Amino acid sequence: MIRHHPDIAWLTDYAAGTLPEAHAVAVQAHLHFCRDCRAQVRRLEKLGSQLLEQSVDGGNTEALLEQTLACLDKVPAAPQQATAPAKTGWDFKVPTGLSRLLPDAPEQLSWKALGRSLKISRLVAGSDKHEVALHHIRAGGKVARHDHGGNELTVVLKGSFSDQLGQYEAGDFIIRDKGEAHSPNAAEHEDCLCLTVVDAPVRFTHPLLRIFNPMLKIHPA
Amino acid sequence: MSALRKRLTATPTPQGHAKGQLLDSCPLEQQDPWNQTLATIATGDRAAFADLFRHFAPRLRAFGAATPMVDSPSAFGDELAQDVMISVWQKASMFDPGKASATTWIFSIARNRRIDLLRKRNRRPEVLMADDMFPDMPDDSADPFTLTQEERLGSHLQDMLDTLPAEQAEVLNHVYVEGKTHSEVAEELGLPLGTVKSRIRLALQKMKVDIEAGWQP
Repeated sequence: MIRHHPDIAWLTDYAAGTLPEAHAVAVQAHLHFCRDCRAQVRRLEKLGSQLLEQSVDGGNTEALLEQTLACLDKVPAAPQQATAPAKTGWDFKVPTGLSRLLPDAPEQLSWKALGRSLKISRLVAGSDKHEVALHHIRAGGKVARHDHGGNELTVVLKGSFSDQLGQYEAGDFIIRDKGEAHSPNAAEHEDCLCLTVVDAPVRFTHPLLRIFNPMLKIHPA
Repeated sequence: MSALRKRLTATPTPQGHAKGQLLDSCPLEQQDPWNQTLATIATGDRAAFADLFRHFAPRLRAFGAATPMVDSPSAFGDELAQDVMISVWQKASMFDPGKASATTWIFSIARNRRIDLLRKRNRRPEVLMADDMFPDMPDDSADPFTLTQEERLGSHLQDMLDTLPAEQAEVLNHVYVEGKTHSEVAEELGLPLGTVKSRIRLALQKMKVDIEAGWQP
């Protein structure tokens, strides 16, 4: 059961279309799992339609109408399907927004191991500020305790993990702020796959691991 | 945003009634009157398209012109209005009134096209397009509770918007019409982020748009 949702400010910014792409794709991944938030977004879009209805400029639009009618002859009648094709080589149903960023199967991504339990694959999302990545934690695996230089946004795609602050399952949307150190731990019976979006590098808190911190950088792409 | 302005700007619907009157006098008639117009446009009817255009183009133009950081707001307003109306023409046969009303559907096209046009203008990489971030969501309308909420919301939202305190209506307008994030609005108005968030939250709760996840009647 989904227990962690984007708050109403996140959903409002999503529905109004003001979130950066990397954040919007994470919210969409949550909506893929969460019926309650989908209903919330529908209501927020309805509100948007009423605000559009109220914003009117008084100018004449007849000339623009003539121009537009003239264009109608030149545009194709049937629009092309705009979203990416469904990705079927994954062992979970890939949210539509994320489909654009993923290859057909996980083997086609390049994965980087960070310790025994965690491997990461960075995705190209067209972002200049955020690093978008998949984090894979092996069943029962534990990720070293770390803090965050900025915000870390996580959406669980498959499996589950827990940390000092809670337990998270598929669909959960988690924001960790600077100063909220944690050490995620995947459930024993299943690997855990998460979508993450960060705007600053993580920082290991363990004295022996801290020497790696200066080398950790984010790679917005 | 005032009731006066609403009356001044109300234009005849295809049925020849002012929209507010239609909703007030026929509480059972909750359908967006433009739903039928879209169905007619889907058959290739240009007269119906012109009707829809005369109503929505001034709104879409204002929506586009309110966009921050474009060099020529009025030119961008025209560009967006034309672009959205052409998309409406192309996609009219895909419109499903069971999922969203015509006005909500047109709002979502306007939001999406603004995002994509701005990305192009700013020469940012085109990896994730708006249609990727806002795909068609599964039809959850089988849930009778959700449907009732949305129907009720549809008929009262406009009236409730008019009763909002000006400061709450203002921030909603900044977010939806100008397309600014909560943080950008806070910066522009010189308010703490928490104040902007709580104004929006209060407005949404008052209008029953914000219903806590998992809330049961």
